[in-house]
Amino acid sequence: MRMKNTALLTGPYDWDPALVPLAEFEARLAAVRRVLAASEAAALLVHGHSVEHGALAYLTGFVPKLGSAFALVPRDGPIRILASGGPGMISSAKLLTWVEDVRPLSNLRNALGDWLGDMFRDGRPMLGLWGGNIMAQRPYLAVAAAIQPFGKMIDMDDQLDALRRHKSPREMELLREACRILAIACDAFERATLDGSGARSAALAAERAAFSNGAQDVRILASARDGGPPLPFDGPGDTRVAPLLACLAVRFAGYWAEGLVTVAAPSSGALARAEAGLTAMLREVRPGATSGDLLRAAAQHLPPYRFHPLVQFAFGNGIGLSFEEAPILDRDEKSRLEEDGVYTLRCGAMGEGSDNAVISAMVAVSGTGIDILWPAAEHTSSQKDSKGSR
Amino acid sequence: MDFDARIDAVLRRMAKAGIESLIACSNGLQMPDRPDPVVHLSGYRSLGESFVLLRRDGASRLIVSPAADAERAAAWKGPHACIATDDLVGALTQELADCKTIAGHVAIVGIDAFPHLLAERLLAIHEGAILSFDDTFYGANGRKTAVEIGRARRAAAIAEQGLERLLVLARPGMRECDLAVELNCYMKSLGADDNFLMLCASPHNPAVMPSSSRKIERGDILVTELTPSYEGQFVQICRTVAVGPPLAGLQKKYDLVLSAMWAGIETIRPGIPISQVCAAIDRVLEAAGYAEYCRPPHMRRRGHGLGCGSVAPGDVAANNGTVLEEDMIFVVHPNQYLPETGYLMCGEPVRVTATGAETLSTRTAALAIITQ
Repeated sequence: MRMKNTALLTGPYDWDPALVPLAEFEARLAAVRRVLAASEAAALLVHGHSVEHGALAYLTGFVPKLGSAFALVPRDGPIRILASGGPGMISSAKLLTWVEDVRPLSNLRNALGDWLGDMFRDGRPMLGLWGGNIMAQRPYLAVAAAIQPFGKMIDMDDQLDALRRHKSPREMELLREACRILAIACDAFERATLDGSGARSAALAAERAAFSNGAQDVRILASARDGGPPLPFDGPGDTRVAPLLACLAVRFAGYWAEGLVTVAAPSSGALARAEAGLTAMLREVRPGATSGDLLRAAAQHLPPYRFHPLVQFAFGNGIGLSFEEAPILDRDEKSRLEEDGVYTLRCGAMGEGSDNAVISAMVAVSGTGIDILWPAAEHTSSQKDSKGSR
Repeated sequence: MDFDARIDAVLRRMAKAGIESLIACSNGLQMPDRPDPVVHLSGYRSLGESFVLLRRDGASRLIVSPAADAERAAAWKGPHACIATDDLVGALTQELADCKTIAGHVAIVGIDAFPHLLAERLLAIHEGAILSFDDTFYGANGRKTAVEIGRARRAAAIAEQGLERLLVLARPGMRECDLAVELNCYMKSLGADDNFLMLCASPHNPAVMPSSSRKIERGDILVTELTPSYEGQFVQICRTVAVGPPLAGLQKKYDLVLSAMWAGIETIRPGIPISQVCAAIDRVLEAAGYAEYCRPPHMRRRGHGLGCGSVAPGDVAANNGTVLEEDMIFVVHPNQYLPETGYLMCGEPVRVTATGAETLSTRTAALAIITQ
């Protein structure tokens, strides 16, 4: 899923050790350094920007609000963060992370060159790059040029992203809280819709409910016509829509929860098929289950409806510090669910006219089974009244 | 001015440079002070990355991602035919193959901010593409269209209502971030679709910063830039608020910064380089003994263009020689650090008129005071 990006993050992003203790970061850093050692990488450069910064946040807690930021991670010794923004903004940037050495990123090539020069006085070591795939062209070229005189750059996204796929007990708690806030937001969205609000007003009601319950960020897409796909709000229009299909995403302590909902859909055939499809998918969830297993399970329940275009190719993904983490659950049989992974699973049905529906679930996979993080059990499928469902 | 005239101006520059096809790239992150060539050429704000392919004969195609945005793309009433896809480069390649574009006669704009994996794929297809056309592209026409000007006026009104709301809500004990979130939600309820809302408070601010979890205290000086976007057009106002009775001398220093801002605004007219606006602001502050604080690291720019789309005329800065044209829109903000008070903010969005400048805000900056 792609959500609308926002120009500046405004919610509560300062590092709160009560939510993510230093010990959690120390354990992550140790794990990352073990991977570095195994890969014979002498150091690691971690990149993030204001839109996608999962790797950077995982290691440092730092959320770049203004452009790009980098963590410079030696095999031993302290980490340094280079943050966009002027020198006067560093006091604010330091609040975002446990890392003490935070400096302004005024000239990326020079800043990296200084650090590499201090560390690598001889030889041509390998320097790992994490989060490089999301880097824009200009900083990527600057990084490559800065590293070239000192050593070789290697892409470590696959190896290091694997660490993020397995959620720790603390991460699971944070994801549960994100899902709790998501439920509140969805309730507010549904209530406002059923009370006669337009889609935009309903989205605003959901946003306010989420923020007042601790969310850092809220993103919402919603139908612009009866039964239309979830879309960004392009203008001030506030049309009443039924059925109203929406995607709500909330973030708490860095962790995202996502929910697809269809509301104001009385006696919708599409909604019933989507619910049956999602229920069948959830029955297949276990460590090792492939995306193909899930897809086939859902597909049995869809006819005569078709898969909704929103879920036609990708019907789920890992979720956590990034809104979309590996694996992407698509028609590729190679994507597998893993123990200690958290996933968003989506199903949707498309019929004639406005008879369309999308719904989803957030699940945690363990060795003993699955835990449905959202929606809560009392909200699932047949226990919900006919006006709406998730 | 409308999109057709804007596109015609770009086509003339393409013809002059011998460019057959122009590929404009957007990363999907619309910001108030960063250009987005796809929005500039089309007005379309894509969820993901997007291209406009513009051929010298005027034929064009808007290619957006993701494919899930297809319905919005199909309903698009802009100047280009539009398709939505998950394989952006593949779709572009097909388009170029269909129109038999000659490699080497292709210019690409916006590639610096494009995700590098996509950028590398694009460059592999168009080895030898001209990558230095950005300035020429934006220089072709930095004027806002009549529709964009109307949106800017609406965004300015929303920003001012946001400030009124701030003065009602801001209280000692409230976290900066909670105030920022509340203002964001409020301005959305007025029609804003995005907001670059910086807000911080301290007895002595070194700069304006994104909001933190710090609680506002009596004796703070709260500085903020409210930057709502209305249908994609950002506008910014910059304001300073004393929390509790202002410190002795604060009003005098604020009046100084205000007079610098007005000196800059009064300089504006078509035909002058924007550096003259910066110089007019600097002169006032230098005369008051603050020359040291008119240079880095204390000062980088005295305002900037407002996107998304083109951010012409660019920064209000000493080294920017961009010549002002009628209907350019930018914010003039001295936003000065002074050693006695810390960072003080005042800034107004302006439109260049035939003879001078029109301030888009109706209640211009003044030091505000929260008394409770």
